[in-house]
Amino acid sequence: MKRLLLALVVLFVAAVVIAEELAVGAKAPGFALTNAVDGKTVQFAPGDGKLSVVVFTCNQCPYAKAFEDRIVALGRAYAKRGVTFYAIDSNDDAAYSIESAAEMKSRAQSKNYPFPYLKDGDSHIARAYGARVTPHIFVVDGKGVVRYRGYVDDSAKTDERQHAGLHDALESLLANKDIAVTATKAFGCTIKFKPAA
Amino acid sequence: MSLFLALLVTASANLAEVHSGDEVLRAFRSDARVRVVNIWATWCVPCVAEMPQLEAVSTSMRGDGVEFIGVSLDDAIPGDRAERKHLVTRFLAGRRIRFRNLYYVGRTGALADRFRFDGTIPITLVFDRSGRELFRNEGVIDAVKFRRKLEDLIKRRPR
Repeated sequence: MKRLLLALVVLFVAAVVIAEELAVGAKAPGFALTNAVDGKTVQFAPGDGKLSVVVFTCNQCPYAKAFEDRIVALGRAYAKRGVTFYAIDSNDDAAYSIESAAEMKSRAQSKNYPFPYLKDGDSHIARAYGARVTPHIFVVDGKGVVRYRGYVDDSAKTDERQHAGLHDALESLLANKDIAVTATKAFGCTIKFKPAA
Repeated sequence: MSLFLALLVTASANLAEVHSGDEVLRAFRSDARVRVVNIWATWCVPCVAEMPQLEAVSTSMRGDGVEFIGVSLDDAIPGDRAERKHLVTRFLAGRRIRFRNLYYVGRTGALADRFRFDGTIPITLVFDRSGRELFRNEGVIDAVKFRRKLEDLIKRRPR
């Protein structure tokens, strides 16, 4: 009985830990998710030698939409410099039909996403990263280590922006320099997690 | 109908703008012994779902020394401010939300820093007269538990 209780406590603590936002310096979890655009599986293997950006976003959030064009532009610009972007929709599409694969495909095509738009149907990747909101960014270096987490920019309004967090992080990493601000507060709509089975 | 629209326009104009968290705290009535700040936005699905519960708790505690103030973060989204304020006013009128609301026009990060939250809304914070935080609820409130908590807090703060 004691062992069972201990196991339950360990499980509970593990669940809490997993729900925490991944820290800068932590190893990024890998994933294999379906790209809603073409139905193919896209794999991210942290430590693959590439600088990567994991973007938690979605279809329904006005705040995420306000950043969408910026993320697309960043994804296009940095792809030319060897950076791989992964956009992930972790919202529960059973509860919100706007988050279905068909809707994701339509959105990605209408905005001409230069990166895959991946369905995290059971929200387990969002949980693994501790992503809370959309948009929520994690920059992972070639060794698979999180080097920046937080917002894209500190304001959805470009004219009020004071800190371009994602841009600055990528520029620093590409120049082999330290990132001035490695962790920022991501703001946006809460991720609509699929209830755990 | 035209009277309703006229009232809405007036209400939009009355949705006061605030630039900081301190300004929010200064907006409470001086006799409010327990001060509830709910940070929300019309584009936030759980915030919208929570609003009737907040209204119910606020209404049930009217006259008890508890004051609620909602702080809309609708301005965080780019767009025409007047239109957004109008949207908020329409929302509040449509849901018959009677507790006072303010329209935040400062930097979102500054508000998150001032109230020490991680940027996720809704969040409901409870303060005393001096601005000391007494309690916080991150995410959607449970109306029954929240009311019980407020009753407990108000009991400890005599007039």
